[in-house]
Amino acid sequence: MQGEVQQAYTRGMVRALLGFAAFLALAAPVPQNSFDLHARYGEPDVQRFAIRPDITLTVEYGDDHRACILDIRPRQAFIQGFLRRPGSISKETSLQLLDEVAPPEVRGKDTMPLFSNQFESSCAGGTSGISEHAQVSLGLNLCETPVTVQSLRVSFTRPACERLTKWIEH
Amino acid sequence: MRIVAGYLIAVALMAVTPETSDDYQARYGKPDAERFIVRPDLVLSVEYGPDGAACKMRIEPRESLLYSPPSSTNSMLPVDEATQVLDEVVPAETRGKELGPGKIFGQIAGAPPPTEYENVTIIQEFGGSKPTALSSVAVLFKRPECESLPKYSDLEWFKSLMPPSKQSPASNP
Repeated sequence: MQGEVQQAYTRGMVRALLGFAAFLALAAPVPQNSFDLHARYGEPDVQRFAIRPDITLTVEYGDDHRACILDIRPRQAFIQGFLRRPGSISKETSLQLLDEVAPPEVRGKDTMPLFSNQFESSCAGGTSGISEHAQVSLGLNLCETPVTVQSLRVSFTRPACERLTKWIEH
Repeated sequence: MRIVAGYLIAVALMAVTPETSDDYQARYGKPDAERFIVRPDLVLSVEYGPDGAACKMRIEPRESLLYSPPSSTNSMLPVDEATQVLDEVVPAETRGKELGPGKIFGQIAGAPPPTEYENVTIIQEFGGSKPTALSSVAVLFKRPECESLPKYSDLEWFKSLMPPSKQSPASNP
């Protein structure tokens, strides 16, 4: 008799636990907003911000959680297929934005100034600059008059960023 | 005196130059897209709608914004892990009823068509260094809030680049 009571009690407990587990599984939110995704996967390694109505800044962080790569470009889909709508920013605006997100004091002394070199390939072109703490590169559209900027990238050269900016060594 | 001045300049620079996620959010508001490391070699990129919920997701091998590993194997998607992540972030109940194959303009010829569900479109993306290898999986949400975002594949923009077609004599008497 006592054995039957114990068995019934155990069965009841198992059912209650299974029910609770099922409830928890259903109650755990499907991570589809920033808060839930942070809770499940931790801090993101890349974030994109709208810094002007039609211009975005994408930041990739290093292991020290500080910015290693900054990418400024006209707003377009962050996740996109092959058909990419290009855009452009005026040279003046892009240089203003460069000084806003990585002022000359932060970049350090120039060892190779921006626009001291330029490469061209049909309509596409570019220029890069090297400073004490950062490298800056601009992707240019040479077929527009005046020349416009399609992308601007800053990569910081501190040790915590080496893993992300390895290509510089190649 | 110089030390104090130098210290003040350093403090001022730290205050005005964003460096961390909190700094950027204080200056520019919440991010409209993020990328999470969901497995050691796998990332999940998410683009949010104006309501703050995901509108597009992509699961792909982990690479820097600047640097892609030279080995082609690194850009191939580990399918089992990617499927696990897909089920975590877009489980069957979120996808809704499967509607069959869909059509996305601009995919590589020969690639399998996307799968349409009631609430999402799931696209297997091929390319990178090995065009026949699965390189990423994208999820497009069909919520009305997602319509204001720049499109995944912009057919209307592509059409606008085409020269206007000549009208046939039959249609222009």
